[in-house]
Amino acid sequence: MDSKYKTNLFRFHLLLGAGVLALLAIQATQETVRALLWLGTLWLVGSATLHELNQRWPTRTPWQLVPALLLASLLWLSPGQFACWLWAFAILLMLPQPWWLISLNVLLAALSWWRVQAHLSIEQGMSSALILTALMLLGLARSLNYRPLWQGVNERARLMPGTRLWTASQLLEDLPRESARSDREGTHTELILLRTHYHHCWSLAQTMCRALEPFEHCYRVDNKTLATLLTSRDIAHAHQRRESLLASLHGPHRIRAVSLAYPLTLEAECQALASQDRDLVIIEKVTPHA
Amino acid sequence: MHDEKLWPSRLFALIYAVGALLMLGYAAWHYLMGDFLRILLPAVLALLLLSAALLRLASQRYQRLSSYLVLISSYLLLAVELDQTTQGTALWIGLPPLLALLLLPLGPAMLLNLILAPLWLALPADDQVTQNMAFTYLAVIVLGALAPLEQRRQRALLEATDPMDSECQALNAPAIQEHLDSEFARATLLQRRLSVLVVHLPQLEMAHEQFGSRLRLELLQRFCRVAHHTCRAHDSLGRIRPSLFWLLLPDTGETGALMVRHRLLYALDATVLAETGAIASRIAVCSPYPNETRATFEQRLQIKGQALMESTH
Repeated sequence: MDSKYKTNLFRFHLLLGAGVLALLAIQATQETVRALLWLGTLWLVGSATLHELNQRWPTRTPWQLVPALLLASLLWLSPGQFACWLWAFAILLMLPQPWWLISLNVLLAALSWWRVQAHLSIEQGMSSALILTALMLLGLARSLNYRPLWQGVNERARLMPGTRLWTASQLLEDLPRESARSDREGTHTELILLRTHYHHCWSLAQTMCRALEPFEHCYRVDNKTLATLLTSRDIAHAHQRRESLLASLHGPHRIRAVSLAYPLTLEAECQALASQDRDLVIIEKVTPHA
Repeated sequence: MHDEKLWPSRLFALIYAVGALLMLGYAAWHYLMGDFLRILLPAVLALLLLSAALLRLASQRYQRLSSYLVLISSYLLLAVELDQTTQGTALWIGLPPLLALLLLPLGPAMLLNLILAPLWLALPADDQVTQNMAFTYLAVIVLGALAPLEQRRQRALLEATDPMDSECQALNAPAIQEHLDSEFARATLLQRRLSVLVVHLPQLEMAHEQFGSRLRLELLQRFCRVAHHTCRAHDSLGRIRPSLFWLLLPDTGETGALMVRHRLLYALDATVLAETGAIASRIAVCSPYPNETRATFEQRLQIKGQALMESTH
């Protein structure tokens, strides 16, 4: 699975970068510069090791802030040595990012340029400003191209390649379809919501994916809640399958199982799950229609 | 790389033109300074940059060429200037590797940076390049490449998680195989029936050869639209080979599937494209036998598909 989305090369490169930064840190003479370089090293090593973890859920954390701030502070502290890093602001703009971060990057680049040009003649200062602007425009032009890709990654329905773990929006699509289908086929389908602690969520999702049949999927509703649609032949079969599924789950959790024969909305069920006082609530009795 | 086509060409051309203006300004500055010997290089390079901008605008095919033109002209000017100035070398040697990363795809950019690294470090006139500076320079090459690598990783992740075919509204081959897995398991566990329509579109190749890729795409998209219209919400359409589709019909027996086949043939017959006429199709129906395993069923599907494709030749 790793080779499928090229993590190995990326991780190797992160570690290589960390190594180079560590070398620089060892040679650094200024205390604060050394501390900042070590910080950068740690950040890169951290990203390399926690990489797998970041993959799981789409995050909106603006991590591009870390390199931008590091770069700006290094340039501010030691403009003589790190002057050649000034151009790296253009590279930072190559990554798709929210607009406020782009303006922050531009601001930081301007500040750093101001620091660097103090050591230069006026002509060189002016020409470097113009070239830096042109380069940053180039970076932005490249990021425009990747914006749809970035949005696609953030809004992808399947969270991890190779697993049957999907987002809540996919569940909202599947819910009415499965409901209609079980009506027509005469099968019994129920929505199972599972609430747990944030750090148990991932291991529970994996256990659930293993315990489910190949035609059932696991959904991540939010960072604490998982969901699945359990399809069985009839109520007795559903009962038996639910029991065996629940027996396989470990760790603290709270569960709500609702038959799809009952008209429901995901939002209301999630609220009910949050406010229910027992650990396990099962609603399988269909209210008689008028 | 297919996505490079989408680069906003005009913006790039504009930036190259701005670069040409900068070069021209530099030449003019030498003129004003009375430094006539040094006017020639920036003036020629301004022309190079201008032609790069025009090339960029002219056609997608020349975009790599225009990138190299920009790189060559900036490198030349930098090399000459670095050789002569004594000031600000620390700043200017960082420019070439980052320019390469911005203008070229990752592979060529890294190669160029590594090959040229000794040159840029050796060029400055006096002993301004310390060991420390060399490391800083190395760091900027390595760390700069992280941004394109991150983009590449994101693209790979998106491709690995996107179930749709890139050309039409159908599932791609791995996704439809996964659907077959799940529908087969569901039919077995819940004791329901399952049928699969194997559809071959013989006109696809011909359309591409005779009328180009636009008609091929049109044909594909029209077919997918018609297929989605004829089947139910939980039936799934997937493209298993370039001109071969599977339509999974859960909870449908052989007779039901024959009816769907009839409906689909009829609807495709009524879908007329100006160049090729009605969409021609060959459709076979396949249902698992009692106690048949998934592997043998899939094998049967593949064989049926092969037979359909060969019968048209």
